Amino acid sequence: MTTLNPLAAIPFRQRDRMTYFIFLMVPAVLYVAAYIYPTIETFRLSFFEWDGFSPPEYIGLENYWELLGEPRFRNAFFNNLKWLVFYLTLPTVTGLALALLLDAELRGSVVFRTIFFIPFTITTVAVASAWRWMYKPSNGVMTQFVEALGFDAPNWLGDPSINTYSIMGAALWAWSGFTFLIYFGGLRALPTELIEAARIDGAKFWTILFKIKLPLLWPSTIVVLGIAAVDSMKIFDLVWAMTQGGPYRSSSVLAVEMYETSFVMFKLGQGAAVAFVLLVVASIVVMPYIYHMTRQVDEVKE
Amino acid sequence: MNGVFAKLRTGLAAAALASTALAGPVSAQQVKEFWHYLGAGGELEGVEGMMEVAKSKIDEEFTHRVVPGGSAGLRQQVQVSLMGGVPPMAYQVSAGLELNQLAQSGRLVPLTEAWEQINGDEIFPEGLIQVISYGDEKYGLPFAMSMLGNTWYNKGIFEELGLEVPTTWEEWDEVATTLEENGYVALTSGGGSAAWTIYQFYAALFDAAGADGYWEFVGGMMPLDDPRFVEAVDLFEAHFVKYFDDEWTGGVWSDGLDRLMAGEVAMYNMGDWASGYMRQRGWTPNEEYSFFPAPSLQNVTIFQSDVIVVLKGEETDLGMKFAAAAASPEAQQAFNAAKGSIAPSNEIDPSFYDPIAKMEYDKLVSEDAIVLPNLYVLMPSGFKEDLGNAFTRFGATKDRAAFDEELARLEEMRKEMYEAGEFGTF
Amino acid sequence: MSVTTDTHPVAASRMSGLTRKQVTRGLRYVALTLLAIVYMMPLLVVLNASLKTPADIQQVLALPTQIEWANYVAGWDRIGRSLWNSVLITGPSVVLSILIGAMAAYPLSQVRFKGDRIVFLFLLAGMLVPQQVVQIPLFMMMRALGLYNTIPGLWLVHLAFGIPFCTFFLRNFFTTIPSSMFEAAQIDGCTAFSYFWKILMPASISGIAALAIIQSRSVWNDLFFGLTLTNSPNTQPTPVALYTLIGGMEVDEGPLMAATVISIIPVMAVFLVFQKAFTRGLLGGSSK
Repeated sequence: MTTLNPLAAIPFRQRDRMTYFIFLMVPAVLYVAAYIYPTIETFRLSFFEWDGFSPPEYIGLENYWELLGEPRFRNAFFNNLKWLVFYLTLPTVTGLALALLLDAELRGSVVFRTIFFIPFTITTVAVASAWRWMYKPSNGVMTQFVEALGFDAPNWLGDPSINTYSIMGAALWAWSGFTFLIYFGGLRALPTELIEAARIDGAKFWTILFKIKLPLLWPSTIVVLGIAAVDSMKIFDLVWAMTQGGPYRSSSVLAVEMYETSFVMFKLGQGAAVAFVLLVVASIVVMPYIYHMTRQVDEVKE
Repeated sequence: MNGVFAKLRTGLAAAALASTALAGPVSAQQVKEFWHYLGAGGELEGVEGMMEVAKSKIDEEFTHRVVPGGSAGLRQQVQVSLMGGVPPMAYQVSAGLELNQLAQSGRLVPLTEAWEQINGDEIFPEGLIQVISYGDEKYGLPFAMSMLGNTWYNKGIFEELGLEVPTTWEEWDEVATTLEENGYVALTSGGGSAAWTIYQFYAALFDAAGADGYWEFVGGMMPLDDPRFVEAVDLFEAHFVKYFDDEWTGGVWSDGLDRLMAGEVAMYNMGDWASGYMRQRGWTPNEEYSFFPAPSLQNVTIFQSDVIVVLKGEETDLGMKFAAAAASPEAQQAFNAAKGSIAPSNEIDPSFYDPIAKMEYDKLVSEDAIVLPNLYVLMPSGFKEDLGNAFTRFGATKDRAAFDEELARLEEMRKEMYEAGEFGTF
Repeated sequence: MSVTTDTHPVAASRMSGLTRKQVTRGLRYVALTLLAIVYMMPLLVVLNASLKTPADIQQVLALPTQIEWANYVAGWDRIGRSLWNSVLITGPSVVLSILIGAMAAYPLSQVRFKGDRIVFLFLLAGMLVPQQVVQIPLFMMMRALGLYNTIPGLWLVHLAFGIPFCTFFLRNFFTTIPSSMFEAAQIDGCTAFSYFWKILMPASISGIAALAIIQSRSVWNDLFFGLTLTNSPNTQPTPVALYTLIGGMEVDEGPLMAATVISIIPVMAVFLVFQKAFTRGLLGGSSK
């Protein structure tokens, strides 16, 4: 496993080189047209003051200075960080736990699989509606459940100190279907001989999990964590549909601020500035991490 | 190896150039559509009724399109379509500062000619005319009005406790106290939008500052430390905030009505779409629920209005014909009967209104009526959202000191924005 | 029936290995059932709501006082036509985006060249771009290409926007394919193209199946591109039609929930079709 990849030393054969080149070019062209060009346009727009109808007016960096001065952006950014921590941990662990539970020859396995997966397929507006009902103050399912246990139910979506966590509950429900799916596929792919051998040697469940299964599941984990990190920065729909970032902006995130600035307040230039800041922040927070993980997957391979 | 990458680089550069060229100017082809965000139940039925009337009057093909996402979603789509060169001929706008700014941008067609043909000055209320005029021109034709500032109440609870509808703040306090003593939530507010709590403040503002002060505030000319404003906040605190419960912050506007219908909440100050909501859920207007105006608004109607605006382009003529047709009494009746809102035109036969709408209509057309547009939609973006959020927070936390602090910050903002000319003139 | 194994786990575990296995199995079922109930709860709320009259719908826990099939009629009326559009949009979009993603992932996972990681990260950065950023330029491009308001236009867009994720996913997956296979193929004189097509893709079938499920869901639920790039009933995908049930002030919750239930069914079908491939395929793939 630790031998160097011998391919690095073998020079490409001419026609294979061509194949690789074409294989990379097609996606790259599409990618540039779909991402790079629009992003440059947006970056340009962020230097203008523009309501979308009147002629745009060049104002230099003013949109950016204004952003820095507004407490609402700091609050939104802070919430994005909370989302980052959440996305990286809870759905990952939950998905893994569900997958481990189902990773056996069980009768009715497909029924459980389907139940854990459906939430992931539901469109966000319906997830939001369902969870609004779960969280309704007097007759919501969660509220009644907590009260049945003898506690005072909190104001799930209305209390600024907890509403972001409440929205995360809905996200966990919807998102763990994805992490479950990836881990379940990963677990089914593990070489059974290795695990059987360890079991016969008397290894405990936890030893097998941490010493054998998890390292082998690293490629799945990278997919799960990579997407989670990205989504935590871009999260919009669920927050917008559940609280519109309220009450009084307590549950807002950067993408909500971007949308509100552009299309509720009609400051498209400033909205573009928020978008660009979001992109840069996301790159700074997420990219090194993804880079680190891809290195690790390469090491696993070697 | 390097060769591959060098080729890749050149290729990427070429692709970037190509895509820029693709995005060059495209010709404007206006689509023969009216865009709106009225997609749910009675709203959509209303638009379809209005379209039917318009089609019977105009001998051309055109249609409507529901854009999801409310006013922000519609604005976004109109924006994109304008940039891309296929804007709709007409779309829905809430009459207020946004309309004013659109008119200023030069993208809208003045509808003054159509306005004169239908005798707009005679058939629409004065306060409404004010918000759709810009300079000497009219820029929107109204098709629906909704009223704010009314308090909806559960008649069953009032009857049980033998309560009368209050007409003074003293009576208001007595009613609220009695309700609380009997275990009801006297008054709740709406969560979700930043606007619901500040809408209730209008009654206090009008009481303290009158119609002139109300307009002064709209124009950004009343400082937030003005004695009239401070008095209004005092009134609002004493008669509204004091009674608010602590559940509403996590809900949306309709949750308050669900609680009112469940007999948990007795009173709820909300726009008159509240009536449509309760009616759709099986309550009979004026039997199970009704409304009364806040004590200071006995003869005052505060409204907001949806108007049709027409964009400049090839289909401008059709757009103008459509807007005029939608302002006709038949179209207004078709729309408002289905949606349960009030027709802005006074040429309609009011017999189709339900008892609640009839009460609103009578108040609107009465001799001594004062008709004011919704203050929130007349104030500049950036300021109004912050102000609205400050009021929501005050309503939720009841923390006057924090509210005053926030008002001091907003006063700075008001001054700056006023000097920058960002407040509208109506 | 299972009382003995469930109530006396300690005693049971002292018995033969087989019985202990039964205990763990029993515990697994208990845990799974509890979790399934938790996961079902919001779904039941949706299903329950989809059968209620407007008067009942806010009483979350109560069962419908009368079954309101009208919600399904209204929901079908609003989204029925768009379902077919969505099928036409989703199928080719998913196939194409997986194919293009696999093309990019192949060199990035199998061969080393200078800057390979930079190219990879460059493609990945696309995942960070918020959709709103691309809206207006994208609209103009599609108009210029004559693909605005066409279903092939949406294929192209979903294909382009699927690239970062599909590349990311498949690169990781391809990396798990033992490199000994690649070496052996090279020594056998297999070309890069035939290795990709004849060996790598078939060996990755379980990963591709998982990706197909994820991509189908993401294309099927896309609101943003559908909203931006279509404007007629012949092209409008389901989420656009679904979201119009939320109006200016009103929300038709009954029909919205009924339409949601209807719109889940096709994705469920895709899941059930592919999940076999993705659970079984890998077992076959890795035992080679």
